[in-house]
Amino acid sequence: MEALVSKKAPPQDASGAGYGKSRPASATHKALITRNLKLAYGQVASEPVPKRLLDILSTLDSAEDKKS
Amino acid sequence: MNAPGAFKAELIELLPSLRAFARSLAHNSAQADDLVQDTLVKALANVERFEPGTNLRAWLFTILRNHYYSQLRKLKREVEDADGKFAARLAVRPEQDGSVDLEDFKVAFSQLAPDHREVLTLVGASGCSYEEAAQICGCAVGTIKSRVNRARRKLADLLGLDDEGQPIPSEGRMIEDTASV
Repeated sequence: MEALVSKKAPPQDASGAGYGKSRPASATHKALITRNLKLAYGQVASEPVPKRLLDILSTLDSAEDKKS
Repeated sequence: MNAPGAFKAELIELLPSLRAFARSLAHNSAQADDLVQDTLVKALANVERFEPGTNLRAWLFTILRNHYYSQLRKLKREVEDADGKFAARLAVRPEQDGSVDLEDFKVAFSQLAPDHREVLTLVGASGCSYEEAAQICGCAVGTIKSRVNRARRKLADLLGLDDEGQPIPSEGRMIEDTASV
């Protein structure tokens, strides 16, 4: 299959990764990525916490009850 | 240890961010909540080791992270796009409006290596400082900074963004997963 050719510059470092210090992420990329990261993170963080997780914390109460 | 009531209150307050961090590492919500559950169990079992007045968020995130990588090593689970769904999805994006769809972003994010996902989440979304992220990841601040930069570059590449942050039209993009077919 014929490969599609990228308009982007080829990788710059020897590893082929192309993400070395010489090519930092642009401010536009940073802003776009940060915005989407916060959106995705916020979506999860705003979900109600499952009861099974809260139930685990109730063991703190019962442990304290046993002590007293 | 803090007073149990205060400690519990702080734990409850941190649960949403702990879940969000877990979601960035795990690949589905059930697996992420299992990770949080195991983290809580471990935290409560070792609560005497937590020093009052220190950073509870960093302590919990570190437990979660260590548990995740421990599981990953056990399962030798590798993230890959074996069926090419991700590449196909990028290739058929219908509109290039200069923004990135959040769902596309999540798909691209999931393609990153775990160490890239975690630093982006810690520094870019959870509000951790570089120092706090370094503490959680057990490495130097400089390592976190360079890892964040590499992760951003990789993510921008996966999203097909050009240097202005615009998606590159699909006909001009390299579809790496199919280029060698």
